[in-house]
Amino acid sequence: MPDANHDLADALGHLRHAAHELLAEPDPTGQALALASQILDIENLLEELDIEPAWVPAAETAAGSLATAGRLLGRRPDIVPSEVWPALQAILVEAGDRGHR
Amino acid sequence: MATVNALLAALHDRTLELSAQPSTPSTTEISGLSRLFGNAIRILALIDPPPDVMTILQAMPKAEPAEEPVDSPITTIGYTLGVLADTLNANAETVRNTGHRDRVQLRSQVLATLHHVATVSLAAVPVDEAFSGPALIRDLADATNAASYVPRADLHEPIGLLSLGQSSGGLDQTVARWAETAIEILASQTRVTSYAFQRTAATIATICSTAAVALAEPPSERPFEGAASAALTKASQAWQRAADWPPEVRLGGRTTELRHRSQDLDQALATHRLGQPGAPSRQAAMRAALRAAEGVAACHKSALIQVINRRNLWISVEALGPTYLTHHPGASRSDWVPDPGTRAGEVLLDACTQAWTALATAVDRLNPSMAAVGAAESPGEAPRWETVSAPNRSRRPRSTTALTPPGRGIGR
Repeated sequence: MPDANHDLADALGHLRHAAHELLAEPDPTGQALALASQILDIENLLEELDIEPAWVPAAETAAGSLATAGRLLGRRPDIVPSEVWPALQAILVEAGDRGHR
Repeated sequence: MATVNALLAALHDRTLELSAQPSTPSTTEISGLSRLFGNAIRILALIDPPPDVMTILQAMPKAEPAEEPVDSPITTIGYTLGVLADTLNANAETVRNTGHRDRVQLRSQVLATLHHVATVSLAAVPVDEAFSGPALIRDLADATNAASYVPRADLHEPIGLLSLGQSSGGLDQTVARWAETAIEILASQTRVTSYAFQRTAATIATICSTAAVALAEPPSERPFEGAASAALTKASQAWQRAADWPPEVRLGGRTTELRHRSQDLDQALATHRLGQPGAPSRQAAMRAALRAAEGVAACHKSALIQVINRRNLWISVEALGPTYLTHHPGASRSDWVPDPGTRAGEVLLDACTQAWTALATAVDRLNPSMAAVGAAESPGEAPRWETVSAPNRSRRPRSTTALTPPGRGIGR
């Protein structure tokens, strides 16, 4: 299994793709903006651990990138700040509800 | 009066005291449980209470309060829950409009307290006593067990700062705190990060869209407000584009305080959106928020120009392609390097400039009403965030972190 920093770096890379996807799409309701803001906050939390994002291939959708990030972070529950989990959970549900599952 | 966050902190401390006390509580002390449970019900009833816990609490036998005041952690916890219940019930609308995360956090803190109280009391409650209901207390300890593992955290504004005797409307203050922090960080060469640029742009977009909705609400809609609302929607979209940094570009570092302020403002704006449509105070608050957003926007643009001119952006080597690696054989695909002269900065600045122009246009459209409101609110006083000029950075020491190789830490 890759080391913890590698997983977190990859997760951060996927989160960056997710935020980019959401901010780039048409957003008449403002929901994508709200989700992207929450993703940026999670990125910021991870950067507090001095994690440098990895350059990873983008998933087809923001929800896909988020799911991958969630899986990677889930491998390292001991390192990931506890504040990340409720935020990530809420984002995964909301992104899925927007039809990006 | 103490704020909700201060009360929750006190509740946490008193609960720790209770768990740490060497002896089990006396029967007299236990009589305070009735008040404690009653106050917990008043709080939980506001925030989607777990049905099993509510059933247990409501089934608890009522006890007569002790004749003399009893100084014990259980009594103190009961009183603290009482003040908390009073505060939350006095601001029930704000509590109802509070986001899911804060509601979960509040509920978890109350349930965690109940868990520890039940666990400690279980040892002290004599079997067959009238009040005891030991089976119920055991059930309560079990039903609240999971919540005792949730890490404690402060609630965001506005709920976290609610207190008795104060109004719940704190959007102005929340906006002012956000703007102050955002400007301070954007203006600092050593503290500014891609998060700061992206998050402030996203927040400005949210302010613009919230203001657009508020201004379009009847019955106060006037022709110029309709035009301003449409312009604000465009400004929101433009700032959303400005918040969109490509994943291959970054400017690392820590920006914790801005994250907290931004989250507080998100929450305050969400609460604001759920307020009474068309209320004059609601529109006035959004005009003030727009003035603050203008100030942050000006600082955002000048800070971005500085960062780009100094080539402080970092680019992923992987994204730079094989040509870069050919010319820089020492570089690794996983590295981040200072912008070697790509168009990344130009693209970011173009989006920022368009957003800045869109916001200025929207505010111009709104100006007749903003001027009128400003004059009515504070005659002779200029708007607080009218203009923020870029700080003179030429004499400041150059950022050392900006020159740190990416492999050694923060990749800026």
